[in-house]
Parts: sequence; C-alpha cells; structure tokens
Amino acid sequence: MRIIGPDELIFGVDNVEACRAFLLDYGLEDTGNDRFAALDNTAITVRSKDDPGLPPPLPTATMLRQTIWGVEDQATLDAIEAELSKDREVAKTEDGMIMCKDDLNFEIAFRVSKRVELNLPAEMINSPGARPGRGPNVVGANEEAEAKPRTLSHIVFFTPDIEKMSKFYIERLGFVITDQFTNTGPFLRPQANDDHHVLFMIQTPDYMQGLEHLAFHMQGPTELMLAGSRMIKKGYESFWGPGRHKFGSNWFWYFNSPLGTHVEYDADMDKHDGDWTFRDVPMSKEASQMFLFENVEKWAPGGPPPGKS
Amino acid sequence: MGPRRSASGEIVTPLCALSDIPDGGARGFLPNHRGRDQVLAIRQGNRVHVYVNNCPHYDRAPLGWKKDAFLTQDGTHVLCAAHGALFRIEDGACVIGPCLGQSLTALPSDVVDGEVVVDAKLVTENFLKGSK
Repeated sequence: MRIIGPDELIFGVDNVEACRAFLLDYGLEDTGNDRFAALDNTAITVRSKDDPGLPPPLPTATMLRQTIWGVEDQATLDAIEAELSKDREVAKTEDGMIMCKDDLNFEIAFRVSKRVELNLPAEMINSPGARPGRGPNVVGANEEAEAKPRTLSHIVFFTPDIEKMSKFYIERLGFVITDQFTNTGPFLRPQANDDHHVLFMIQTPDYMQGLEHLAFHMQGPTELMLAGSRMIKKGYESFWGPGRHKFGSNWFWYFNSPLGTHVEYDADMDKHDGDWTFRDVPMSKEASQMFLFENVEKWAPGGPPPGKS
Repeated sequence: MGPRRSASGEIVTPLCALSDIPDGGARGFLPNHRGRDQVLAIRQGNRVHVYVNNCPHYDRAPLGWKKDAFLTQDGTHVLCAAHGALFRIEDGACVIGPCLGQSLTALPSDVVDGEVVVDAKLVTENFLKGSK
C-alpha cells in the first residue's frame, strides 16, 4: 500500500478563534475554509465541535475527528477501498476520498495526497573538517528568518488496545515497525515514506483514547528553536522541550494547544528502508530522549559585578 | 506581594484585587523561575477558586495553552490544553479526559476587602522556591 502519511487532520474544537490564532502563530498558512496548511499543503482543519458536517466525536475528551491519510495514486486508493470493504462500511465523497473507521473506532479517510513537492534548502552548518555548509559572509543567526512548518510529520494516538490497533495498520495497510517501546507501542512508517515514524501509539485506558500529539517537520534544529522561541514570546505554554528524541533522532519542542492536544515542532528525523531491524526497549525517561532543555529568560555576560565599575 | 495577617488572624498572601480577574474569567499567578504561573484563579461573581496549575495526568503538565487561557470558551470548565480534559470550576473534579476520577489540587482562598488571598504557609511551602 503506497500510503505517504497524514495529509490532513480534522478537529471539532471548543474555541475556534483560539485555535485559529494558535495555528497561525505556530506558522501555518490560512488557506480558507477553516484550514491551516504547511508549506507542502498538508494541513489542520478546525471547526466548532457543534458543526454538523464533522465526523462524530469519540466518547472521550479528544477533539480530533478525522485523520486523512495521503496516498500516492488512485490505484493505491482503490486497493485500500477493496481491502477495507471486506469487513467494514467504506463511504466515498464526491471527490473520491474514502472514509471509514479503524479497528479502534478512530475516524480515518484516504485520498490521493494533496501535498506538493518541496524544493527547499536544508539548514546549512559549518563543521570543522567538512566542507562549509555556508560560504564566506553568509550569516547563520537570522532572527528575522521565516520559520514555517514544512510538512505534517506524524501523529500519536492514545489507544486502549495496542495489539489490535497496530495489527490493523500493519496487516491491513502495510505500515512497518521501525522501533518499539515494549508494552507502550510501536513507531510505524507507511510504505511510501522513509521517515522513522508517521504514527506512534501509546497503550492507555479506554477513557483516554484520542490524539496525544501531532507534529510538523521544520527545516532543522535552528528553525525549530526559532519557531519555539517565538511561541514562548507570544505567551504560549511549552510542554516538553526543546530536546532530541532517541528513536527517530528528531529534535522536538511540544506546546499545549487549544486543540486539546500537544502540538510539536520536529526536525531532522531518521530515515529508514527495508534493511532496518527495529529496536525494542522498555519506555523510560532515558529512552525517551537523548537530552532535554527548557527555555529560560535571555541573559548576557557583562563586565564587573553589579555596583562595581 | 508578601504575606500579611488578615482581619480574622490568618497569615495570607494576596494574589490580586478581585477586580483584576474578569468576572467569569481566569488568571495565572505566582510565576516560577521559568516564568510559568504555578496557580490559577477563576472568578465567579464575588467567589474565587484557586487551583494548582497542573493537570493530575502528569507531574509536569501545565493546564493552559497561553498566559491566562485556562477555560472553555463558555467559561463553564477548566480545559487542559494537553489532551482536552475538562474540570469542574467549583471543585476541580475531572469530568472527561485522561485524568477522569482525579481532581485539580485546590488552594484554600478567600476574598477579603476586595482582595483575593490564599494561605501564606501553603504558598511559602509550595510555590516560592525558585520564584522570582
């Protein structure tokens, strides 16, 4: 199954205006119709929780209503429709998107991806012994630089049945395990994406089922720090980070959000192919990150101690 | 604002004037050394409810998504901006969400002469270490 990754997430929220402000400040672009897009047109849509056009909510606190997966082509879409029609109702929209529930009742949908191919520079660094990433007189620290999310990277679900849930994505949709936290859940990537994970899941009681977090990829660590610092300056609440995960190697910075889920900036995630053998370790603070920092107020070194001159 | 003795004799720490919190709204107070408010106060008329700014789901989970943004839009519940849990304003009980069956930690508070005050001992013991 040539699934690429999450194309769009649909939310039914308590406070549309707060979500709109949050997503714009986070760096997404308002493309109209309550939709906020990254540079490659992957997106978040936020509507009022009372909007009758939304898929039904889970009986939990989560505000996520639907995960739309992007696939490579119509043939893939047809194959998914044929596969999932075997044991569930699969609806189809006028423009060809197919919709159903996964085995844990999360609303899911599939469409030929609306993402556009990006052709953008990587973060360039100078490293002794290596050819310089930036030439002479090219300044690396640009506080005015744009820091826009490039693409919807991954989503993480709280799920009451990790076995059943991972089986569905692996056996029915062809996702591959890249790494695993024992008794917590697997990191999964679909076949048309070499990112370490587009989907991770965490075993929880059933009353917790929902979206734990979503993440967009940034250009690199510097852009992640810049974007996160701007969120702090605007008064948003940092939850975890900045830091660097072990599994996936991605830099991270998580924020609370009015979408009732953590929203992460990530950067520089590992890529894998079929030659990779997944690692399996118990979940722990040590396993969860290589290092963790927290934003502090700015400071500058001075000359003599205060009061002396 | 430091601790002082109220008319009825308790040692209290004033948080703010009652009128500093919009009626039906909330505000954060007692920032730690990272600038994060450690308690939130919610005003309902002349009553104020004060809670520790942490979701019982995790030991380091601030509730709001932005400075002073703690409530649902209709002002009826505290909303945890981590996973959408809702808490009753009156007693802090979680009614839906990952911490179902648990409650926000309440801080005894009072409104005295138009001022919102909390128990000074609790503040000193729990929230002054590392505050600015």
